[in-house]
Amino acid sequence: MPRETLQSLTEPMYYVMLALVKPMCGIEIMEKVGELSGQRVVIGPGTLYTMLAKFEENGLITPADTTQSAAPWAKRKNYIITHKGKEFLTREYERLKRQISDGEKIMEGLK
Amino acid sequence: MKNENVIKKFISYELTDLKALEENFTEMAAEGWYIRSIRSGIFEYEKKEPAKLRYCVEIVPTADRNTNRINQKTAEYIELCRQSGWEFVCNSAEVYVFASPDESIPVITTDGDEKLKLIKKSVRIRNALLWLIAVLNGLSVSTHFLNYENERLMPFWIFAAVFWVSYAVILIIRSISFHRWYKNAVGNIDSGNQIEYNGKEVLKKRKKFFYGYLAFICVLLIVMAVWCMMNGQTAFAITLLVEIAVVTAVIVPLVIILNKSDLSVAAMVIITLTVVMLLITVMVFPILLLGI
Repeated sequence: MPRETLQSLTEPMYYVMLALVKPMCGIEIMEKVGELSGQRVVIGPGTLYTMLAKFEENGLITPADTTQSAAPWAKRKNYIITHKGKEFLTREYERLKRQISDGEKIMEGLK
Repeated sequence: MKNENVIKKFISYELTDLKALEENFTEMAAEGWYIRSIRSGIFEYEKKEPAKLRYCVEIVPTADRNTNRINQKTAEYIELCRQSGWEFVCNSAEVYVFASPDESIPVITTDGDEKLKLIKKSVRIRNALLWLIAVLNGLSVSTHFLNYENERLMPFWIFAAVFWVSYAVILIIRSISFHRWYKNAVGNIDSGNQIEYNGKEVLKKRKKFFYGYLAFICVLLIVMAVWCMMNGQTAFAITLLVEIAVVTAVIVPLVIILNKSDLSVAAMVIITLTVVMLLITVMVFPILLLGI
């Protein structure tokens, strides 16, 4: 299958990347995203699973140490942002900031 | 052995009906019937205490399409769902059923666009297989019609042709209706709305259509049998009638077993048809023996 290269981040993706600045497992990411966005952005486990796979494929995140629980399949896989991921996130952050500053003058005039 | 605590239902569904299935499971659970397994369109429900449950029917991207076995990646997917409050119930190939009593947790796939892509991919693969069968079937039918020296097999090929033509028509209608649904869904996403999935009423429609189709095939075969008899081709007619009798002899008990709890009108039609056909066959035999 051809690899899908990420060009930019959607809103949920942006929050997931922000959450992964620290190593975290799936369920923790979902909670963190809710917390960071004031429960505005909600991610279901299926969507998160697909997103993490895409990030990993693009080298933006990498598996960190795994939290083992009783059952072998029930292990909690942790992820952390990579150097490439940090660069990507910074670029997105700068782009969003630029969007705000670009819009600011116009929006001020509207008020 | 008859198990009072389990019922089986035949449900004809498409991948655009996932929401309809969720509604069905929730309603059944409220009556105390919990979905337990799905095998080739046969849904098995188990009797327990009635409860209010939410269901999520998902196409799992990591799942195998030709088996119900759960692979490593899908086990991880299921585990992530479990941690967020969705318990895995059962699956049929890549279609997975999850349940939760919690009203507050988000659905499994919150990205509508992603879910739509998964549905499209699965529908394409399924349709491709059905078309392949249709083409192979069509080739074999047409070859036999082009050189029909073996006339004794003719009725079988007539049956095969009728079946094939109607099958192809259904495939075309299915493909067109999916394409229309998909276009509408993409439009909804582009304008920031939710995708409109089919509700539970569609399952009733599909069931009626399925039985109607069976009845249609039977009626067509009867018409052909009568036509053959009127043209003095009694041997053809008898073969046809025997075919119908055999087909229905298999289908009717199946329908009754599957729909023990709700014998539908369509099933009744089929049963009536079988009786009529058997009567015709019984009547035709003495006429033939007497050489009339």
